Amino acid sequence: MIISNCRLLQGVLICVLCLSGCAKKTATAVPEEGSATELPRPIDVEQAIKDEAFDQGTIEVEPLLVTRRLQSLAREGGAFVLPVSLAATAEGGVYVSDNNGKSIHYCPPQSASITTLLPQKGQAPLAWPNTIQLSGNSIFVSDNDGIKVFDRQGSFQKLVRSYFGVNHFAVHNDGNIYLNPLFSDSKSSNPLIVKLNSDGSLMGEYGKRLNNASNKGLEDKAFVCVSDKYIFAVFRHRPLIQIYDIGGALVREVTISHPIFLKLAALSHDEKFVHPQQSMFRLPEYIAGASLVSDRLLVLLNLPQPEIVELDFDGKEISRFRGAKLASPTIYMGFDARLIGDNYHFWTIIGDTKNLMALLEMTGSKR
Amino acid sequence: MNNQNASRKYTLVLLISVGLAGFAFVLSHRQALQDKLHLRTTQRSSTGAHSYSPNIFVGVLNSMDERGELKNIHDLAGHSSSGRAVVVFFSSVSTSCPSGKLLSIVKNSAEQGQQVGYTILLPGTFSQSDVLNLKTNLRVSIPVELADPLVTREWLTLDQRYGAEVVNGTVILVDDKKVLSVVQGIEETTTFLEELN
Repeated sequence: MIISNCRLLQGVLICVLCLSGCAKKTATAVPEEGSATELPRPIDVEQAIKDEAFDQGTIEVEPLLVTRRLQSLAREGGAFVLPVSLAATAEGGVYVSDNNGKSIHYCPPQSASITTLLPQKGQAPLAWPNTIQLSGNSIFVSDNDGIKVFDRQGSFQKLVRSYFGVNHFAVHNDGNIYLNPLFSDSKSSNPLIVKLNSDGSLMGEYGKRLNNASNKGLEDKAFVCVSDKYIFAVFRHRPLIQIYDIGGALVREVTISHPIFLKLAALSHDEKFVHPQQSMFRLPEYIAGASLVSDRLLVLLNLPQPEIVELDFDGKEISRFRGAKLASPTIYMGFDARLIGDNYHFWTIIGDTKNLMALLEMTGSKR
Repeated sequence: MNNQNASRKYTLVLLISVGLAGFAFVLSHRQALQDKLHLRTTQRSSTGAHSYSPNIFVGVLNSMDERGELKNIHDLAGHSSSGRAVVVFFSSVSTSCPSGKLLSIVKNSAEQGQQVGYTILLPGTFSQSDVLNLKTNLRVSIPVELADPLVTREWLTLDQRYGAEVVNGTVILVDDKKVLSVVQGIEETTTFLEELN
């Protein structure tokens, strides 16, 4: 069970999560077993990297414009308790999973309204929901019980019990689920990604983990995207993308670059950063989310300003979008992208120093 | 009259003495009895509303046994050559949780202990697809069964009352149609299975 309490601590949004049992949370820091952790964005990153460094990049960028900011906090009578993941429809509607709210919210396109979809009585209640994805007319949400499937109105359809702890997953058009699992042990045989059929039965394994026992597998946490030909593992704590073919062979690795990433890499070797407390360790977070749009991979970097890299499937960078710096420090929870007309639309949930969580919609022109 | 009063006083003192002696006996042997049955101190549930200990699980199983409702469990023991069976009650398993680690311990123990039958029991509310997924996905070669409706009912009642997180992963040893031991948790189960093998 999670007892979660978001509070202001030294001007930083810190979510204190007491983990007991098997509660799932998006985490940038991992506690030793049985202890609490502080989440999600370490202030030390902000202190270690100077703001001006963000303006020193030589990469040409396209502007990102904020077109919608939807703030709806439960404590102010709104909908969001702790939104952690989102998925967008082709039209620009957004489904949001709310971890502590144990619910799914729907935000229609270009609207300030939010509808909360609560499972009907007698149906499977959400147990600390996390990653949310859309496929066909169904909503897929991972929680402590497995992956629950609902229709777009929120009616429960089925529970997929795979018994894998879920960091992130994607659903292919054919119904198969590609999942980056979490393991409490560091066995070399543990796969980076597993392929499950629609009933949750293991159909294949992809990739190798670093299995670094000293950081409880943080380096192996990856966002998963899947196209007809490829499976993408976009690592949260490494500026790296691994692209596998559908047969499971590693096709190529792509490194995401940013001037600030060198400083983040240095933090990985800073004992004070990695072990801020005796019972805690963490790693810098490079990437905050990934999404496929047609034949493009869009990657949200974890920076004080929203910055999104557009890549083709060969790993070549096509363009880069950058927005204005947000209130510092900022956390990103969830990411999705869609092409509507000639513009990319991007969605993420941001938290800022005032402990505010808001759904942010941004647009950028596709070249 | 005086004699009657003296007799009443004597009886009263005698009763109190016997009562105190009995109480002292129970107290002094309580730990030994608990150790013998592998029972441990109570645990506080996450809500704090009710405390749970494995002997509550024993109590429920024994009551069911008296009513002849444990046929499902006894049949599992009957399948092993020694008539002994280790049954693990999992209402949830995840590779990222202690339950995943516990499953690995049970799997390893089953590979070494050929004389004792091992079974993973899932609630009857799970499906055959759930059984298959556990065996396939986590490479479980020991039998995985669904609990019958009676066991499921009592099990889920315990889950509801004390919290699934404290009941999940309960391990019992059945021998000669009797529930001999109930253990919980990774450390306790590891020790118990090592001693068993």
